[in-house]
Amino acid sequence: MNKCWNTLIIDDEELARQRLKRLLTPYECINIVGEAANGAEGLEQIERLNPDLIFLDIEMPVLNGFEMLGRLGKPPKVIFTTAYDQYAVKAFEEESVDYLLKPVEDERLAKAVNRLQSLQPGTDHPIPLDLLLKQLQVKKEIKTLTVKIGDRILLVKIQDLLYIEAEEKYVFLNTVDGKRNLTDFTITSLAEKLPDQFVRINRGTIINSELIKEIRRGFNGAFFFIMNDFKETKLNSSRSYNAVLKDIFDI
Amino acid sequence: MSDRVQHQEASINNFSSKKWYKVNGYGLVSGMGIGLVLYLLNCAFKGEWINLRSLFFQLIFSIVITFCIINSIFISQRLLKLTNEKGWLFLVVYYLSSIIGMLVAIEVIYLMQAWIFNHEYHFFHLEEARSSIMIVIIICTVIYVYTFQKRVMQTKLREKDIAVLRLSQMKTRAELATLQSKINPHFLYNSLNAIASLIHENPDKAERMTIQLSKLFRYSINQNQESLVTVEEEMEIVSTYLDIEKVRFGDRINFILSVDNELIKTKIPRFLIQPLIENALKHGLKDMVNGAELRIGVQKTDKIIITIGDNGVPFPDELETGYGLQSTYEKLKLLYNEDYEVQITNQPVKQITIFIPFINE
Repeated sequence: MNKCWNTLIIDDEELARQRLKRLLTPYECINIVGEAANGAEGLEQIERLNPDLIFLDIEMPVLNGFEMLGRLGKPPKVIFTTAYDQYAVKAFEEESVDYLLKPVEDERLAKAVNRLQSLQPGTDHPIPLDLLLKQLQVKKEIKTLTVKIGDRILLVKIQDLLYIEAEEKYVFLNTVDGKRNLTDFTITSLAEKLPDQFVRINRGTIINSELIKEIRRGFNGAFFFIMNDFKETKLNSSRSYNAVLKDIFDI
Repeated sequence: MSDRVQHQEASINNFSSKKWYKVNGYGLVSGMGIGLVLYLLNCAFKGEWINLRSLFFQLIFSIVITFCIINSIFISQRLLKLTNEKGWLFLVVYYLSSIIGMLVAIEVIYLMQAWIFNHEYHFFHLEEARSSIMIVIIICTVIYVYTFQKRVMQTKLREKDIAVLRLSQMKTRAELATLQSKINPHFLYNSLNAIASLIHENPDKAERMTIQLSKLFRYSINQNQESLVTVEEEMEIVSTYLDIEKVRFGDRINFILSVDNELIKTKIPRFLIQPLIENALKHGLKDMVNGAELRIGVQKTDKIIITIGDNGVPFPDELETGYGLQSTYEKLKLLYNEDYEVQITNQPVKQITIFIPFINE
């Protein structure tokens, strides 16, 4: 006996929802109970209608598909609908996840529904949400930072960035060509955002490790770094960072 | 191409005046040099200083000889319109005119001697001619080989320069092409999905959207590799893009386009505006359900001012540069070098302002 699935469609494009509804009409076991145009609406409808199955778009305003799932205690069965290229999303290959690529193909939908029907009742496959989130939120590799000069916004390429220095509440980007620009980023958020080649050597200084000319040991046990610019800028580490620095630079 | 032709014409016209002075200037200096060297050699040979009178004559004679030879070469080349490229003919004329110049110089010197010292002058001095022809041929060969090699070197250097220039132009063009051809694939798939839905709901609308989508893609593929387009063309593509977005998301957003009429035919970078609109929709207006407004303006001052603004979420202080903004900067940098400005403001209105100069074509 085929189980019937109370189904909710969540997608921010009305046309996409309409198309899915139309494609689902022939399946008697799929019983569409509602629609939602974004994650927040979806959340509300799930709580109200308690569906067995949701078709879920990923990129949506207010709350995206994953954020919405993250807020559900015990989510219903999910079939993702997405325009992402399948190869970009390895996590979709997981046993427990099913997905449809837009534009949705009839045959592919039939397969997904068949798979639902063949599911053993009671065997619960949790969605590997962490994995999905990790792979979809491709760690954006920062290539440039913005700098404000009056109303003018300049981009500083991070490969030209020699070191970053915080002075009281101001943070300065110092570039190889000797320019010093005020930025709105805080030193902590830069430390997080910049790639690994940027190393914090004391509380207020981050240096570009690819532009170090020489590392010397200072009298007090800390290091000082001579940078590879024409001024041969010298920067001191603080001793509390020694362990980390020794590890990074193998010294 | 036409530049080069003009350049050649100019050099032929200058041949007679400017170049003549230059050649004779060199002649004067080198003649004096040769005379001095000969005088010193003479002194060394005899082991004593020869009186200054003979130095004076030596100088005069050397200058006369160089003048005669140089002008003989100059006139013959001018008459025959010869350039180096004519190979053996150039060589023959070069040697012949040098010898003729030498012969003339010998006679001129005898004439001068006859006039100064009241000697008797008779035409043609075969003895001197024979020995000096040998010297002329040797010197001419040395000079020819030297200039020939110098020219070969220069040509090589110029070819290298041209190759480097061409390479950098190609690189710029390729970079611009990749910057322009990027339309979000996500956008394509979602639009196609919308069309698939519309085919049943509203065939006319589906047809219209298919055509708009092709138009957008044709523009992005940029068959002719043009990096600049008129404001009119760019704005048409912006409208096409906005129409597609309207079909997908309904009339949620109010779009306001204002373009200075004078600027309609002005050239601006291709695909400069669309990525910034995409950004505004994706970041600024993403979560706005009602009353969303997007303004696009192209205004004229002494520069072209392009503004893209919205009434959504303000730009964050820690503005992260995604593909849209970064590609905008790269495009501007490639086309205008340092001659552009981008402002990103939240006050008094939230907008991106781009200042670019007019490009003369």
